[in-house]
Amino acid sequence: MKTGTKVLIAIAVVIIIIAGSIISGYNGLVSRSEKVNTASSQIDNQLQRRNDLIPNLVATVKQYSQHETEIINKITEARAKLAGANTMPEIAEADNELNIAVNNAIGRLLALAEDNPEIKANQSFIILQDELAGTENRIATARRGYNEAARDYNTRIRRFPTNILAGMFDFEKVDYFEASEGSKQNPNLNDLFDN
Amino acid sequence: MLHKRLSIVLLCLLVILFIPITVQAATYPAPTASFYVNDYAGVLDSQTEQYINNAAAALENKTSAQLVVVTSINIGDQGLEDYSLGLFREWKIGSADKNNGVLILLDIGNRQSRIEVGYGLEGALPDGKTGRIQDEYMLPYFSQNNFNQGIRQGFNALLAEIYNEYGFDMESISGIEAPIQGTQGINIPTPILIIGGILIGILIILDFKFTGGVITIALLHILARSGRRGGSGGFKKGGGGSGGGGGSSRRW
Repeated sequence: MKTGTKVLIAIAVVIIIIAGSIISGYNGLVSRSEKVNTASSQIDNQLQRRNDLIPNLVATVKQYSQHETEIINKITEARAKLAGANTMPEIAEADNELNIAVNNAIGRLLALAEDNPEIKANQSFIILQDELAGTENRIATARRGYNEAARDYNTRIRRFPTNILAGMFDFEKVDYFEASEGSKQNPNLNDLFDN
Repeated sequence: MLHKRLSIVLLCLLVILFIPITVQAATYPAPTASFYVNDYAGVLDSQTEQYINNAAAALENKTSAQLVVVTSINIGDQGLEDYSLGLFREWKIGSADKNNGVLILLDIGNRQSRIEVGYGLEGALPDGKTGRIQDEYMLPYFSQNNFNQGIRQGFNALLAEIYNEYGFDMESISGIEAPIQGTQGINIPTPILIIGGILIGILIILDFKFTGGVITIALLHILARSGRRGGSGGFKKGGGGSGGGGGSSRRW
């Protein structure tokens, strides 16, 4: 083979490799971006699930105590805020407020249960607590899954050489779902069963 | 020659650039050979282990669902919910397409337990129900330090729910027990225990007197061997299932 042919073959090989890596880099970005979307809809599902449980909680609070308007108002406010939230940081903040409001309500019911054995024996209250705690746990799991997907994606669009592709095809950085400290404290369901 | 070297260098560069970053995950114990029973705390007797093993294997055969028991002396600083889900996902409990795994986790050191439910069984086992199962079938035994019965009855209660979900009639399946609620615990009346004990004692004495204990020793050998056989039924493993944090936790 002549030297010229060899050079041509070498150039062709390099071009194929580069084209291949551009395609796989682009596809990698697309699938990571899709993972972020899936993870974010997981969060929405779980937030919705909690939303469906809250009327039960409010009804239970009302059943045992008529003058807890402040607790109920806080829940209503936080729900409205969450419903209006669009960006991830907004959702995270509203979710945090709702968490605190819900936990306050449960804490209040647990305090009432000290003097009111009827609450303690109320099967539907125990079930409600389990469902709320389970939902919070699912939200935490979904949040972790989302943040992992977001970190993976964000890292990818900043790393060389995929950052060039990300710039060319308008892949933008996504926000994390940052939970503030307060929301990590679940109400202690076991207070009910300790004594 | 130069071009060849150059393209090799380029190729290496590209390979390096596209190697994914690997993340170090938290470590969980590897499942035991029997997979369904992992009694790291050593609180289950061999009869219960064997029963759970057989019943869980039959369940997987019929429904593809995996019901797994893990007991731990202490899970450490990691939160119960985190640990439980991490272990569940690491072991891939349940089948890959149905995600129908359930994990019973007992953490004796911190006096807490959790039932972790895979995505596919969240409908059959909502959090409230798993909480009730723990309240009725497990905690009453746990609080008396009877972990063997607590695990066994909790297992039975979950078994019944899963069979029910897949449309099986519990009565039609042999070799499984109906769950027993643990309000007072179950007691064999004392007189029967005493009489039984005395009878066995007399038989052993007679055996040693007349045969030098041949029958007793033979029986002990058989018991020991059947105990060992329980653990050597070939390596089973998780079917690829996952969960999203469904289930409930209790402290006692």
